Amino acid sequence: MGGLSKKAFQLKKIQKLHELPYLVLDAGNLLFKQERLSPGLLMQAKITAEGIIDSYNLMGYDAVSVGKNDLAAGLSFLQEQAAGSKFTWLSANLVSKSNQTPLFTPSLIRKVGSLSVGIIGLTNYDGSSRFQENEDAVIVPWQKVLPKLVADLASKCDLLILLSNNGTKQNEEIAASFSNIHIIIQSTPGSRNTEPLLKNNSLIAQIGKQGKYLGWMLVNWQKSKIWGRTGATKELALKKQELDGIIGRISRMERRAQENLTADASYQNLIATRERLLSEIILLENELFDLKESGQAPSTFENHFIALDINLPDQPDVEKIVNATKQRVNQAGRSQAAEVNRIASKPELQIENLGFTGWQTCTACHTAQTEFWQRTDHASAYQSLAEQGQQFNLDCLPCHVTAEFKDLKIGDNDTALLSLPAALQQVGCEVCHGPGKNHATSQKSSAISRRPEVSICIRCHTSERDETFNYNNDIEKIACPASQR
Amino acid sequence: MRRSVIMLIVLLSLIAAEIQAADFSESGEQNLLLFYSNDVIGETEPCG
Repeated sequence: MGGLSKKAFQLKKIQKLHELPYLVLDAGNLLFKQERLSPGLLMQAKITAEGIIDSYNLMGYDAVSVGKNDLAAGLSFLQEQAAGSKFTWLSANLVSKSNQTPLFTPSLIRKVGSLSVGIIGLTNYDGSSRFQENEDAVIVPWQKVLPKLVADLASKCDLLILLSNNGTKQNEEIAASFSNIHIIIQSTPGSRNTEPLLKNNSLIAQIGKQGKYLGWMLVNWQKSKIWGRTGATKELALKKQELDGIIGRISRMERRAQENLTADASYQNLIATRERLLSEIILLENELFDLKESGQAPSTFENHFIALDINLPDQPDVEKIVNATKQRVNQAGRSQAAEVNRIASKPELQIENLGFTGWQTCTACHTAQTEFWQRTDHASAYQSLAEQGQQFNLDCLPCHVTAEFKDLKIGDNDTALLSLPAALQQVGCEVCHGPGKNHATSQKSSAISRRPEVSICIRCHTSERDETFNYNNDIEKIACPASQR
Repeated sequence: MRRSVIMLIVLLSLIAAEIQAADFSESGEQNLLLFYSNDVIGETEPCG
């Protein structure tokens, strides 16, 4: 959630700088990481979701479309949250199974400066049902709802925006079908920063996942309601830029010239280019002026991505919400830990049954190696989490303890992470070398992995968490001294 | 007197609404800022 306070700061900064009317929109997949959550993760994930909504309320969001991941804690949870949100949750195609009425607001109209802007939300449709038997809900394909809705809004609005949880292919089909949807903002799994793509008369925009960026556009919307297709505006800007360069070169030549330049071929070429560019610029400016006069001037945009870098300033009120949310998550984890301890007699939750033994067992035979390891950050990984008050946060824990992701991250066992014995409360030997119980008993080297594969490291050293991680370089920093045995 | 004041208020509000509604069709252009985001969940930061 850390990026939210930085995003809030940038939003205010840009709004203040430009002093223009604005809209703040989100295309969904806002609250949860997956379509389904295991019961153990649900409590903490819900608290985080509430914190995100509180932050969005403060940031002045206008609308968010319902993404399929936003339904992970159940339809009723999202409906409760929607009722308490200051922004509007939009979905035109998430409807009641019994009577086909929308379960969320399908669309809204906002006055932005002199414009009436229509905004529609779409939830991802892939044909599968993600609802419980007792939930009266179904997602219908966009073809069933958009034609009527777009026709209605197009007659009332100057600009029409679709927030779509569908993939690029479906959004391109939508763009091809409706020339009066002018902007499509999409949320798709694995999304990354992409310059807005013009399809038919729709700009399709998206930014990278995990809230690492804020996208914004400065839009000049014209009565023509069409995006610049001739490229005249861009061409004009390029020609002006080229002309600046030519004029600069001409001036430098004239300053340095010892004699008359009339006989200098390169100088004459530059003069000829300058004249050509000037006449082309005048023609383009006339063309654009005529288009504008006739109401046919194309609309234009400038797109920007702001990386929400860790060093950027935070908006204090949103930062306060983020910190309070993290505290609530940790507190919930602490209560879960007490419950896990109470039921820890279940064999599937007993950590020794997962094959681990703890780093102290390794010390007996590998003293130099464990002494070296104790000086690395891996040894204090859990401690550093505790110092941040996040040692019960199930989002953080998997990368700060000795455990196997496949056993502890997914399924009902995830909460077992909350009650690990002290011997496993660090990124210990067995994270890199694999569970060591068999090796400790048999002392066979075949029962242990000598060097961790890159796949093990990048479970935690992802590009999001560790941008500078380089397996070949970093493996040397944690490589244990050679064994004497 | 009271009726006249009410009528005046109604008239003024109608004029104001007309001015507001008419301006895009008159000026023919509008600059605006559009902030957008997607797939926000999963925002990461150092846990500890």
